[in-house]
Amino acid sequence: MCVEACTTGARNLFNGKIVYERDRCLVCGKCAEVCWVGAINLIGTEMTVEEVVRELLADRIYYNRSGGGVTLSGGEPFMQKDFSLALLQALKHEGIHTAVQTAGAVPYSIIEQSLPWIDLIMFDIKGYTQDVYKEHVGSDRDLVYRNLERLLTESSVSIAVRTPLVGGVNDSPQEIREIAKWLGTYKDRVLYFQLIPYHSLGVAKYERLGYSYDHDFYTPERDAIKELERIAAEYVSVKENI
Amino acid sequence: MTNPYPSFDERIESIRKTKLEFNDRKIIGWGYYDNDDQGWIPWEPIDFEPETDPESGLCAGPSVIGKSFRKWLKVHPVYIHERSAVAGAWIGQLPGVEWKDKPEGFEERWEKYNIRVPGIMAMNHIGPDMKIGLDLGFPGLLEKVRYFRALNNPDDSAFYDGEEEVVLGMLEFVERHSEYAEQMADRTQDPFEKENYREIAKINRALLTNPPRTLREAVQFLAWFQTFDRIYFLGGAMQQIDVLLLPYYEADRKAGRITSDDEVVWFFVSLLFNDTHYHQIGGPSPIDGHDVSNRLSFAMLDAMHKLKIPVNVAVRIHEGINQDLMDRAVRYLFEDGTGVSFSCSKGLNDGFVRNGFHRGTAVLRAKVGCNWTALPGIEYCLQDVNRICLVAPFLIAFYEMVDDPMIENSLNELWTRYTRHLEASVMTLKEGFDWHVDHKMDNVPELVLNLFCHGPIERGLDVSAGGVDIYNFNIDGVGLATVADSFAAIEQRVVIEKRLGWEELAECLRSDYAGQEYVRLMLKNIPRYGSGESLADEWAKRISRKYAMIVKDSPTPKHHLNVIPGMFSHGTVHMLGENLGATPNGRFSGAEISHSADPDPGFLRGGGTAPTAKSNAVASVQPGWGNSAPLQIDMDSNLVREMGGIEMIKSFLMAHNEMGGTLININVVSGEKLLKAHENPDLFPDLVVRVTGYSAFFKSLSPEYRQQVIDRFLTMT
Repeated sequence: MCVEACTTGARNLFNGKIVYERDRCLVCGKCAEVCWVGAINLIGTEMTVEEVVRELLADRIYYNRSGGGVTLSGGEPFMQKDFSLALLQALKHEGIHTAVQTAGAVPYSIIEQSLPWIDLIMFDIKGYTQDVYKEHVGSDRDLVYRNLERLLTESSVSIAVRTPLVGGVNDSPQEIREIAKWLGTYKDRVLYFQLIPYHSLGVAKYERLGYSYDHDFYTPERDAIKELERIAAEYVSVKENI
Repeated sequence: MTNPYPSFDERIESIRKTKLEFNDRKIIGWGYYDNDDQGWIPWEPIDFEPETDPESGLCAGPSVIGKSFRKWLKVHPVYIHERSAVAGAWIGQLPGVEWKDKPEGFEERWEKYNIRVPGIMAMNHIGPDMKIGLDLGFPGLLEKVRYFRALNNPDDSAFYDGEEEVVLGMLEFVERHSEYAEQMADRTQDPFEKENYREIAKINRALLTNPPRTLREAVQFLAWFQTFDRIYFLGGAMQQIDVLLLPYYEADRKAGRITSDDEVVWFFVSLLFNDTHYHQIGGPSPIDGHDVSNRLSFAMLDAMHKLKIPVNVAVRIHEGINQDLMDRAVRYLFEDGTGVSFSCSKGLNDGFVRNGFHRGTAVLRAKVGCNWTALPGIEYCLQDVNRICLVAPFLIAFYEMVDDPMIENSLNELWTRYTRHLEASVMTLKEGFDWHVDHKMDNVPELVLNLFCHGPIERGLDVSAGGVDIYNFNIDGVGLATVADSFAAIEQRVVIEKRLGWEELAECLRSDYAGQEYVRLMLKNIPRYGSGESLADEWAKRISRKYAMIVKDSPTPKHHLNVIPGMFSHGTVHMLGENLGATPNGRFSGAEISHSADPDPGFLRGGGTAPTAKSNAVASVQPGWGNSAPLQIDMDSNLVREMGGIEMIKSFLMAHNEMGGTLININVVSGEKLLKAHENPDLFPDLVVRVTGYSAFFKSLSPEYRQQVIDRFLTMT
């Protein structure tokens, strides 16, 4: 049935078996719709803001308990700016605390238009040097820092800054010290700075997408993380790992 | 001058290492064990002939069993760990005990309804009140037995004969350990060990003539209880330990006998090394609901954390819980991978009062078993010893309906027949309770636990036979998700979408889906129980409500004793599944059924399992009468750290309590470590996991049980 449903020929029969050619797939989801047995799953579901809110409100008790709420995470939520904005507005209407995790590599105007409906921005800084951004991130380092600076100086939204700590990429004391020193300039505005140790949970996502994961990243040792946290704490409030 | 004595931490480490060595020896000598560690120590087998009843030739009846118990204790080895604060350990339960009477008239129905664990002839699974023992001590218990024997002067003195033999056996066993400790003190050259043995000899000599007077003596007394309780018939329940021992601690502090809580932690480590009995700490006071935790609650957490072996302690959570206690309990969860379980006051207390008990009484019902609570010393509840298979009545009803040419197949018809068979299945257990009550005292009474209950010795009646005031038999349902998903699959695929006829479905099930993999996956691929607002979620609630109503609607038929519903599988899902044919949720014939009230692993679209969705689901299907339907949660510690750490976990636990959940068993472990340990258990000999209600060395579990933990973990993360 999935072969018949496919309009691009991405799913076709070969020697009695169904083969899948990812290059021809438009990710329209029609094959998954007719696959009653659930052998094909479209990862990600198209939902309306109302549907998302209804699902999120099922967990209202946890938000109340924790003083937390809903965090828009990624990918990059601001890449879907209109949906994110509508969702944030709907959540605030329900009295839910909202947070957004962003890498900050979008025009500031996109972030700015959502600000009235955001309680907390968790801003990812991947590194301090251009090298880290050029070699491993691919986004404009200066744009990221400019956006963060504007948020810190022009807005009143709460801001936490987080750095994914990737062994072999940005885990040197110099790199972390420079980030913390820069943040220290605005230390009264930074809620906390947190180092997030690298984990390999993304490997499975790569596999599902048909990509190979040919990185030799590693998780820094606990003692090394503690030392970097100590260095950062010289400049800015640090949220320590447990 | 350096202190020649090992520090408390060094003593604890030595005790911990011994436990790991014992575990290795147990695995080599006895194989994997899929249950609680129970504290037994590996020992060569001992030749033993139990006493027997001249009429039946069996070791049965109170007097004979009492004599056998005493005889077994005479040959049972003595054991003292040189760095423990207390003496004692056990190597095996009293051999040879048998029932003279055998239940009749049940076999056919047990077979029909897949009742593999009927609860009849079960032992212990009630809560003792150790205050009785601490107040009286061994000599006082002996005096009490003799006093009431003389006062009641029964024609048949077998009950009191048995009780007297048991206490005499206990006293002799304690005395042997006193002598052994004295010998070891003379023999060793190590100054600390010499003094430690002397102290152990002294406190045990004191226990021969007095009730415990100090905290160490009280802990020693509790260790003896644990040992005797296990030896008698593998009992495992203790009490609200922090409240129980507080007077001893305070008196010792005042008198200067204890100057540091580190010493208390060492006492508790010694108690936990001795056995894995179930303790509760924290919780609301029956007076005004304030939290009862004290410094001993923290000492118990510290003891668990330092010892890092299988231990069964529950924190009783409620709105007023001591936040420092919660913080420490959850922090240790992160650091150790597992730790306490969390017994939820709201669901337990609100439910129990519906049985007609005062809230003050409900609050005292402590979490002292794998999944269960009991009133200390006044309630006979026989928890966690029977299972109602919720799936077997479904399959019977289904085939009965589709094979009946006179009726039209429908969901209503199926539901009606299902509930009728469920009623019959539950009634089978209720009749069994009556049989149990009629026969237990003359066959295998609770000679040890009677001593620590209010009434049995005073009345001359076993705790099972009118010895205590309150009778609340428990029934545990298993397989809710299997049935809920089956009903929902039929409703969606057969009734609404008409993709399959009733007959076709029946054919698929009969053939175990032979050549029908497409149909099987189609049935399996529906929004399942746990996904929220699905047909299956509605079915789960409906089944749970009906099951609870059936259990509660009538007492036992003969003695009219109260029965309370719970949902707990322990590990019986494989055993129950192996007799069952294929089910409409896509489950193959013989495969395991679902755990307790848990959704099946991977219940969300795409195979995931969000902790909040699971928590919401389990809270929504609580039977609601004060017995538990636990939530089993396994989280990856790395993920949880990123998501909010301790505060996030605390909120999660408290939310489940607020929603009416009853018990949370939780592991917060690094997935990487768990997977490596699964590949090679020797890499992490001290990795401890909470399997269901109980905690165990991961290494000691069979590959099947390890796989169960891994599967659960993988689908959660």
